[in-house]
Amino acid sequence: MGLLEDALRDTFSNRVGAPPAVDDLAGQAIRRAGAIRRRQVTVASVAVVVTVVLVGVGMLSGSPLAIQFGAGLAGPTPSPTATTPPPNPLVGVKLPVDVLNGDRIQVADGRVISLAGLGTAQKALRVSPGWLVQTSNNLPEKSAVWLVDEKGFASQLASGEITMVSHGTQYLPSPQVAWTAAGRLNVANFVGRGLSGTTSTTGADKLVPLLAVAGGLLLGGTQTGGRTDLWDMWYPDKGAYTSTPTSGAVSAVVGETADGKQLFILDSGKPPCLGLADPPPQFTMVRSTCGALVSPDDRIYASPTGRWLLVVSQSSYTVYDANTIWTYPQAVASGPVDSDPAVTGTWLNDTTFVVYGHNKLTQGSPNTTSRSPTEVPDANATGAKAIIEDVR
Amino acid sequence: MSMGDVEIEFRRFVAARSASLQRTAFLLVGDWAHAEDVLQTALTKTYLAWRRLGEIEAVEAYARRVLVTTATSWWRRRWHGERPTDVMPEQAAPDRFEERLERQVLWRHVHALPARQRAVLVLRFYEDLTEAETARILGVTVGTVKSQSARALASLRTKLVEAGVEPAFRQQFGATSIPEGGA
Repeated sequence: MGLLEDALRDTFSNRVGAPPAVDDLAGQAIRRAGAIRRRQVTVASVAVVVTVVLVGVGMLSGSPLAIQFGAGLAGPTPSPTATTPPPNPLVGVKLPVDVLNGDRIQVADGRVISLAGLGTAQKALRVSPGWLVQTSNNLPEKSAVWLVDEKGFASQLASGEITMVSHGTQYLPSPQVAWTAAGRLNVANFVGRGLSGTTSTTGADKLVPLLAVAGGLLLGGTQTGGRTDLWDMWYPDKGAYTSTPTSGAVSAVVGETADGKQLFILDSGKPPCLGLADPPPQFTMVRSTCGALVSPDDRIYASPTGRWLLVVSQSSYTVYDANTIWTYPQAVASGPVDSDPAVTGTWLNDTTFVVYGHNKLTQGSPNTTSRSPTEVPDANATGAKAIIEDVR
Repeated sequence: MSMGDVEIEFRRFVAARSASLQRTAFLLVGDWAHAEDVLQTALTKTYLAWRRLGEIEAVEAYARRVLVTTATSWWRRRWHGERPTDVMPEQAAPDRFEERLERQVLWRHVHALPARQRAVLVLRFYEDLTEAETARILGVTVGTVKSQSARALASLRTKLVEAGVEPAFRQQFGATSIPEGGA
């Protein structure tokens, strides 16, 4: 350590001395927190009366419980009741679906829920008490899944090297959370407000959970350090994981059927052809077509009844009729999406889909022209941007 | 956990850790009045986030991070020039006049640094945090901490030489010279 560094240590320690006494620091903080919470309720109530819609209760960055109107805690001496907060452009924007927008959730009804302080949000699901949010803190072992309730309170449900939230299907009616920690792969159901029925196994430490399908977990790994090229399944109900990984025949898994029993896969041809397959290790191909244009980075979303298949890519969406795609792969609807490496989609019901890319939500239906896209506010929010699937 | 339990735990935390946080806030913003403001803000945010923070280690890390973020953002908003040295705080021990003078000069130049550079110095040389820990609190990379620290130290060296206090530092710390330039 150098001379100047020593001088800094000496200077700092001599400058601070004994701090002056402050009366009831904790009490003051508690009272200010109470004022912020009361203001949150008051502002929200007034907004409901004036606009006759449910408007946004926002959250201040850094505090999931504070309101995002006005300066709030931004200044050193905030006065919660002294000023009229300026309008917040993020709040009150109605959207067709909830979206994850960097460090916040923009709720369809116009509310904004801050996720600041939880880590980098990567994925979220809408559940009855609020949202399941998967985050990471750069270090893999710091990945976590949180339950964020309607008021923005967050409680951590699981953390580990990898954490994954998977949606419920007919096979798995409740959302699933899977994670690896200390060399064990764990999976649990989200029930009520927490995880239930955790099942663990060893031996899958080179594979990560990808998807809940066919009553088990689809696991993926890589032999080359690049794209997933190793696949296997673990069925928690059948006991410990038995390693039977497969590779070669499948270049990508791009989605699952509405009933959660089978997978949409791309074979290893050049260019790859789309297939409907049983889970690995067999990956038995049930149907296939080389006429539907699907690439390994695309994602297929089946409509709730399975009638329609929405294919989203980085720059477009295409809808196919699931009954005819294997014999007559003609698109029934398609459109452009402003280029975005992470376009996501979902179905609101069996005839209405939404695609989110480049801060725009495009809503459409099979056989009809899509509406003009809805702009999601704050295009500069950093972090993952994705549609939040509703699994309530 | 009920609100009553949260309040009790929070009060315990404040009783145990507020003096330490208050000192850090003082070094970040430069005077006790503003340090108290910053600390109040950080504690309020910490209380609001208490339920999701869980263990006491997470609470303290969160509070410290909010404190640093609040202090540096407050400084950006409020500070528009070099702040004159104000009343000396209570001293931990009797001090020689010339040593105090040198510390005063160094202190003034520390507070002329950009907020982030000053925060890096406080975290590294007062809190004794590692570069990785400092990076985590500031929400930057280790490389940024290294570069900010090197720039801050180089700037201070230049200022000290310009102010002619180099000889006194040499005498005080028994070295032959304060090297100029980078770290």
